Amino acid sequence: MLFNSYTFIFLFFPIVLFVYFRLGESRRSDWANVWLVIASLFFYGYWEVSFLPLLIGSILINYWISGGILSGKESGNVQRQKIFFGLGLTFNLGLLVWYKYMDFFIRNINLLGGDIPPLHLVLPLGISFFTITQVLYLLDCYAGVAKDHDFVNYALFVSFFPHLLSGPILYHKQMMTQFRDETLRRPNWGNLARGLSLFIIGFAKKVVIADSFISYVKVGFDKPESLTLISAWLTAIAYMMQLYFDFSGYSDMAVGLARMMNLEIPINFNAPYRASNLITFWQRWHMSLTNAITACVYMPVLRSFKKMTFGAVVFSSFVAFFVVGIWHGAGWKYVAFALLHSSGIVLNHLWRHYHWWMPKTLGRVLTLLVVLGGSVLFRAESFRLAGKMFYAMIGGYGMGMSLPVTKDAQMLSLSGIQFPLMLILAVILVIRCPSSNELIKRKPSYTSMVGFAILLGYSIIHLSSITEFLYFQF
Amino acid sequence: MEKRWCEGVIIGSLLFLFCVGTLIVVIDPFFHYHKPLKSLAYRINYERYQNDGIVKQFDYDAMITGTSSSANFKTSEMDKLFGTHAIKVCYDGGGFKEIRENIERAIAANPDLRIIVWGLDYNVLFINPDYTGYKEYPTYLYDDSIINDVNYIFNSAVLRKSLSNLIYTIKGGHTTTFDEYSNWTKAYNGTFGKTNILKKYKRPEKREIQTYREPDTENVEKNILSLVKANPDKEFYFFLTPYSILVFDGYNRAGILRNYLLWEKEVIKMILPYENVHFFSFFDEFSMITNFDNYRDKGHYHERINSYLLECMATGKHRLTMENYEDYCQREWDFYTNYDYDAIYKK
Repeated sequence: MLFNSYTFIFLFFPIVLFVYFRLGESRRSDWANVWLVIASLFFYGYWEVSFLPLLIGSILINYWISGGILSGKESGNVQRQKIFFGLGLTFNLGLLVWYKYMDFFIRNINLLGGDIPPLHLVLPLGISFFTITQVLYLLDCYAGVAKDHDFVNYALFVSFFPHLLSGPILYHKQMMTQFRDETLRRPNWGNLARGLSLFIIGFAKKVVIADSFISYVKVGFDKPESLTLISAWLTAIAYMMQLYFDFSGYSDMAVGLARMMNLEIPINFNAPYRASNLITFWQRWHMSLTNAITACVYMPVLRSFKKMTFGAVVFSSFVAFFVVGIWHGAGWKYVAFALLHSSGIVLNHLWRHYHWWMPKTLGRVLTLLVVLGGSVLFRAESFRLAGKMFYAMIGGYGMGMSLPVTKDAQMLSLSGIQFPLMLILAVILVIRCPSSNELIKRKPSYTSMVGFAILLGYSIIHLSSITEFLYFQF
Repeated sequence: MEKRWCEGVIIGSLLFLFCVGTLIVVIDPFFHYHKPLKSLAYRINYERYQNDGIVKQFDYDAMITGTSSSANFKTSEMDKLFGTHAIKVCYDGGGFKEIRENIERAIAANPDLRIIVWGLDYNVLFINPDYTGYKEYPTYLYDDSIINDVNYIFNSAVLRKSLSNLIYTIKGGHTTTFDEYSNWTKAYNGTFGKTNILKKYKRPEKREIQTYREPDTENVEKNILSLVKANPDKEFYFFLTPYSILVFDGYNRAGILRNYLLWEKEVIKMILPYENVHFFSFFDEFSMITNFDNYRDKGHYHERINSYLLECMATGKHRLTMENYEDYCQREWDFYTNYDYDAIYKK
């Protein structure tokens, strides 16, 4: 089940919200959290029920491990803490490596002469998110920062459905105090209004804007050799917009849903395409991931140096952003993506350290170019196709303007003038429009009520579309 | 204010959806709920979205179906020849499965249906019976569930189609006739003939002649015979789509020509015994098959061929029977196994 689906909007969430508040207002308000856990597991299982045991198993094992660390802390048994922490890291990273990276390693071993059959494992949805969430919790337990160990609250912390599939990555410190607070289990119209408006903004970003680029981008990236210079750039920029509006839209929906339940979860995007350098970009793009990698990778690597030198900072940044890159997927294109961004971060540090000249506008352009390059690597099905896309972007397949309409195209949801108009709208929104969080701070008014009502209705009718069945050549 | 705001947004959006849904249900561009309104002109040009509605809602007693090979039939000609009131519902690039499913829905919805004309694409007789040409189908239009109709009535593209039908009516348009529906003749005007075809055709590499193996007839059994057996009161007019000589050149180059002709004979033997079947093949009209002016590529023929096929089906010319199919197969074998395919490419 996705947030942008009829089932979620008309059935699942209204029922969950209603029951949550009814239980919250009852004498046993702690059942409201139990209800959210049940709802979250149902939400996850609705997508693929066979992966539900994996999520439940991961929660139970990590809960047991964290219990071991905390009991070690209580008794002062450092050895116990280390053993359980090591076990936790091994289990979680092992799970991630198994599902996400194993086939990548096998493919490369086979290229070097091995003969291992690939596992062809289906990647469980959300595994990167619920794994890293729990690793952060174990880190905090080990550091003595986390002490809360209520099972229901822990299960809810990991499985909370607004964040479960695509983040934001939650921090126990921020969430556990909220889960314990009984007053938050009663309806608050202010939060309902702000949460609803944020959900609608995110929903519109995803289904009206992001989804409108899907087929155009697919056609271009499937056959980059059919693209001329301008259409190649348009395709790449369209994908940058699609990626931003899709991901930030989903994050807005997640934050909005939580807010409606009086729960604050971290925002994930803050106008990243307006950043004037790459460091700032990553402080505004998928912010919860940047914070998580800072805690899990950057700080431990930095602390491993005896002296806090500029070189240590640069090296730690490189390693951290390399991990950010390969966290996104298993493949050489993700390694290239990782190298691109980590090298860019290092250069950025050098620029800052030596105060080299960089006008803001030039900085923005260069940042966007790096991000664009990373997006192409990210989207292309393979390294080879990414290379073809870059070649198209330098006019390798022709200069000039042509929309990538090919005879093999199966779907075209945008045609003619619609695509350039939608692209222009997206760019304007990115450059000029206030961020979602700024928009919802404004006081509710009758004008905004009408606007959001129409936007919600308009977005709902964009959940379905028509597929053009273009005939294959005989 | 915040409470009123939330209530206003929810009620307002529901009102918006109600208006959109009502407009779509009333106009119903895909005929999911009712026939076309007499006061509106409808563009009929979305096969997989509208065919189901057509078979459920329209008045007819005959139907023409198949793939793009059947798209150029004119129901007005069929009506004159057969005394019917026919519709045409074709599936570009479709497999037998989706066509069979549509016929089944037509039979279930319309007891008056008595004649079904179906062009059996020669090159898909022996493929996977569950083959479908596309990944996504609007199955919410094919079933009777009201719940999944949200995909139809709350659909921006359907709303646009509804509004465009309104504008089309105001501009004086007419509802697409079945002669016009799916007909691709105009779109390919000027592309017929040998020169145009050979520009697009890539002759396969020559391979050794394959040894005989039994045909996989599951596609025919599952999607054709099952229909015939289940509906003995319906008249089925099947014909093998008369592809051009280039198709046989392709089979010959691939080394499967002999096998294919023998498999065709097996299919004929399977289908002929049924009394409610009229089975036609035009592969022995050699002058037609070898005349490239009739084709725009190796398989798609001009609409005048469709007209000719209808005349033959009405008069019984080229009909295969238990008495004549052996002769037909022998003529076919003699011609296509001895044809000088290389001569096609000589200038």
